[in-house]
Parts: sequence; C-alpha cells; structure tokens
Amino acid sequence: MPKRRSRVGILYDILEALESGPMNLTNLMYKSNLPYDRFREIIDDMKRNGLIVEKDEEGGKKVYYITKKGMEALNELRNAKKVLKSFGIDLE
Amino acid sequence: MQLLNAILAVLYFIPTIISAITSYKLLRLAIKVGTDEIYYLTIAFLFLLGFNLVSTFFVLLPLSEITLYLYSLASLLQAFSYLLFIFNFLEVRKSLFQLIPIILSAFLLAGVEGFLLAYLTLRRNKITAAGFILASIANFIAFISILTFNPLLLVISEFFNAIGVTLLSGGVI
Repeated sequence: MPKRRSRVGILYDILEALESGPMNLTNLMYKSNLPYDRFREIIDDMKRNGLIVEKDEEGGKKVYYITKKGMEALNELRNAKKVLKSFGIDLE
Repeated sequence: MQLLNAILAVLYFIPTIISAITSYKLLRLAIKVGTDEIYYLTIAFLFLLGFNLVSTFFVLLPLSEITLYLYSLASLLQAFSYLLFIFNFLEVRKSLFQLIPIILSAFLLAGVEGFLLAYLTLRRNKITAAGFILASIANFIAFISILTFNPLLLVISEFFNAIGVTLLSGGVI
C-alpha cells in the first residue's frame, strides 16, 4: 500500500509549484496529484492562512498566486526539512 | 561529585539550547503553515525542552523532595514527548488522535489514584474521601467519554469532578 502523504507535504508541493509562477486550479490539482475534495480542502486552508491568493483572470478563470507569507513559509519549510523528515514528516 | 554534576549540567545545557531553538523555529513555522502535524511536533519539542531544562538545574540544586518531584514531572514530559514523536510516524495523523493516549492515561491514573485515596482517607475524613470517590468516578466517566467520543459524558464528568474536588478540598477546612 502506498504511504499516505502528509498534509504539510502536500502544502509544500503546492507552494513549490506556485513559486515558479501563478497557476489555475486544474494545473495545480494535477501537480498536487490529489482527489478534488482533499485538494479543495487544503487550498481553502491555505487561502485562509494567507499562504496563497485566488484571483479572477479574464474569461472567469481562477488563478492562484503565492503570497509573501507563503514564500516565507516555503523557505522555512525548506530549512526545517531535515528535522521534519527525522521525526516522520516527509515533505517529498 | 560536584565536578561530575557540573559536567552533567553542561551536557544537559546543550540539548536545552538545541530543543529551545528547534521549538521556537517549529512554533513559528506551525503558526505560519497552520498544519496540525507541525503543531504536535512543536509540542513534543516543548515537552522535551521542559525535561532538559529541569534536568540541567536538577544536578545543580541540592537534592530535596521538591527537586525529586520536579524531576519526576520532567520525566513524564520526556515520556509524553516521545509518545508524540511516535505518533508522527503513524499513518493515522488526525489532530485529536495524538492527544488521546495522553488524555486517557491521565484519566485512568487519576481514576485509580482517586479510589486509592478515598480508601486511605475514609477513616480520617469522610468528606474528603467522598470527594475523592466523586472525582475518581468523574475520571472514569471522562475516560469512557473519550473512548466513545461522547462529549455529553465529558460534561457530566466535569460536574462530578467539580463537586468532588470541592469536597476533598473543603473536607480539610
């Protein structure tokens, strides 16, 4: 049975994907490789925590951007990767 | 002996600083990211910090009953920090589940101790003994409420507990 990914690992993947540029929901979901309901829940949490923002583009498409707080969180997660991994929280 | 204690204090001082820095960094990260996994790891490190801190001073202070009690409390903190670490490795990682063994063991321990204290105090002070019995029943109800996920039982147990601790404290006035 494949190992269940940690929530913080998924969050890390999403932040890392958005670091290279804004993305729409479909691409982001494809990158995160998650079922829609779980993905939506995490995205909503991330929005609530101010890590990402949702903006409406032309044509009514929603695009997601990483915020300054999200960038800080991503860098801190990178720094803490070793300690998190040592204690059972895999980011990748 | 004093030299050995000083060396031991220095040895404990190093993990105290490391666990303080790690706790601080994890807490900052947990607040920013907001995921339960990091919060629980932070709590585990804070427990470990508590143990390290007490251990550092324990070897420097003269041995007394209070320092021994402090040390035993710190050892409990160490045990609970390890428990939280273990839970990080398990597949089930829902927020509340990590606290359940700690809560259950606390209720169970307090429940058994309460009955023992009721027996010990019965001939000396009946009000105090009654208080211990009620508080003990409250702990067992709370234990069952956690096992069955029944919040109403927990509220009922709190009523018993409040009356119980009032009686056991008031019995000595």
